Amino acid sequence: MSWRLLRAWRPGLLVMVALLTGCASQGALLDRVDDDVQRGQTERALESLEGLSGSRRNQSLYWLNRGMLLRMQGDLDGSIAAFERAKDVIGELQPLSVSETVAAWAVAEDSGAYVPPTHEHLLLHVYQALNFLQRGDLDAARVEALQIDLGLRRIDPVDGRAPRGGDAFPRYLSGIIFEAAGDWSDALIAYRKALQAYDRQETAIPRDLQTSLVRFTDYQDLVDERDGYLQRFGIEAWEPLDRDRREATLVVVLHDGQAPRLREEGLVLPHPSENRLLRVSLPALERRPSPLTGARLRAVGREVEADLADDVAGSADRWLASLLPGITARVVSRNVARDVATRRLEQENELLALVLNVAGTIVDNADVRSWRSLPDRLLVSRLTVPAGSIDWQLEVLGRGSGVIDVLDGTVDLRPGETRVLGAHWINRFIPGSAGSQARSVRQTFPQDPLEIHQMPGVGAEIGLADAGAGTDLNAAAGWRRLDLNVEIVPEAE
Amino acid sequence: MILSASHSIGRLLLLVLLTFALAGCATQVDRVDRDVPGDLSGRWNDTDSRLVSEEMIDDMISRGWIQRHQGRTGSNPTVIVGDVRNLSHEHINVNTFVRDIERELLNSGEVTFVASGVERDAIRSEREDQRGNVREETRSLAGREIGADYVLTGTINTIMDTEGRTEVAYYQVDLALTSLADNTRVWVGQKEIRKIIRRGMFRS
Repeated sequence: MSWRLLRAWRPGLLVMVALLTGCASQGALLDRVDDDVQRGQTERALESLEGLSGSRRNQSLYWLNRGMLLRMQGDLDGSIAAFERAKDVIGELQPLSVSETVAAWAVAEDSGAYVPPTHEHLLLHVYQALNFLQRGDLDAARVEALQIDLGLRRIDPVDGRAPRGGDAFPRYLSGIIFEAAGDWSDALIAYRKALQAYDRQETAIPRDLQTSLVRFTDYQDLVDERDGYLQRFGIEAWEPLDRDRREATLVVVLHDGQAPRLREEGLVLPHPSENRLLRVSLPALERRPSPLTGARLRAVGREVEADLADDVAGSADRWLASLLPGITARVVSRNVARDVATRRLEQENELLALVLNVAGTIVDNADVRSWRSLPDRLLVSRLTVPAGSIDWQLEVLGRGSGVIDVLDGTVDLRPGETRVLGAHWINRFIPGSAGSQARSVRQTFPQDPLEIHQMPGVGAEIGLADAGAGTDLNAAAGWRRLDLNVEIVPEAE
Repeated sequence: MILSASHSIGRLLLLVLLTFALAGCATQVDRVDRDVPGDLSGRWNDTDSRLVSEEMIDDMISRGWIQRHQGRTGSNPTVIVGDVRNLSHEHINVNTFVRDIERELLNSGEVTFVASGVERDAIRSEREDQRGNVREETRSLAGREIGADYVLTGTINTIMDTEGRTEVAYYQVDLALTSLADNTRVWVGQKEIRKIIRRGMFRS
């Protein structure tokens, strides 16, 4: 009788199941956090994230995101504490859970605890290191560099490589840390490993890394290796290393955009010959491109273009591609298991079999969890500057290399010191993310007024033609920075 | 009647089970003696910090440099604890280790021990604050501090070796006592701790 009922109601049931399967609460919660971050409202994002705090399965995700959001707010101590908690939680998740593994094969992909993939685990150490560097605690940052190496050696005891990439920037940053700490042998080893990792990933080698390799091999009298780098990178001049140098080094890391999020792609189908439902749900990456095309660091009349140092989205792409065959196998196994169980139960209790089939279909979600508050990519610029109080400026470049955003700051540097600063940019600088060293932020419009339409969060919502001269763009866009109007009026006319 | 009794027993059993389940969720705190080793993760912990500081300071004060100093100056040497750097792969709270060293130094009675860095600034600030705020006869005067004869510095290093789920963590703590007068090293101590950590394959 129940199956007759199912046949009669099948279209409606399919719609209902399809709707219910879209109600993945943690996905919706993470979307809310995403939206808050995109609007620069990190306090609200933290409040939204609290919905995840009680979830045992999502503890690592909670602490990872909390650490990042606190960092964006400039609360480095809070961020450090949260990331340390994340490390503890992830450490506890390293052994296999039999029940979670069985559940992933039989019930749903997201039934287990969230264990971050290698590239996210490495970035946890990267962000913790950056927190310590921004706080001026070089020894603690060095600990993170050693933990990066230890983590990679656990994966690959011989070469210390991450099988699907994502280890290039962690190695490069480790080199910067060792260099700043005066451990120059370790720095050269880390820079070499970074170069190998960038080559394996087939991504461009940051120019600063190229120069560092030349400088360190030159210092160690590794003439052949140095000449190889000079030839490969086309470098003609470089600043030799000097233990007693009077100048200082300023490194600025720009965290651009938001990492891609996972979306469920799937469908609910009626069994071709039986009265049962099948569900195929796979995760797919949704990239969130940024209007930023580059960045430029200026200080004391010198300037340097920032280079792409970590393509977080690319790492996520490679990670998902490697997982998909396994996920697909589990999707098939879950459908088979559900089908067999339903068929057996059908002989005893049709209604119960129907409930099992529908419930199993509803809960069979793709795992769309990931550390979403990560940036899309990281850009690094390094500049040698005189010691003392230095005014610096970070320009964010849009299409046609027009300056679309500027961050100003002042930093006090001792001779020989290397200072690492950072700022998060998601269509604008996130207030507080650059810490107390950043003095002011201002957004300007590019040369071509047509580009305004393509600036997410501003032009796309307002439209230059509709706004007219003198319109309060800030109020319309929900912004607080009043210099937007001042900039736009002459351009519009 | 019999049915009703079995229902009551069932309810009782359910209640007992529920009580046990809830009791399992309660936070439990056990106070233990500080000498009981508390290795949970295999990382550097309070026991390591205490044992290393005790053994190293015991070694330091049993060496001949104290007698040589006393013979030369007629007084106990004055020591200040300087920078102890954490060069290991773990975030070790160096402050607690430094405190353990300070306690052992002070308790030895063989050396005079002066406050270091940040504390000295706070004390000087307090002394400055006393000027004009406290009675003359109870006021501590500036310029009467005792200068240190030696500074104690050191590093904590680790070497990690991993094979499958087994890790060997080798901690090496190096401390050195240096004369502030002429930069000569009067004592160098080293203490190693080796830990074998076997990680489980399965979790609940």
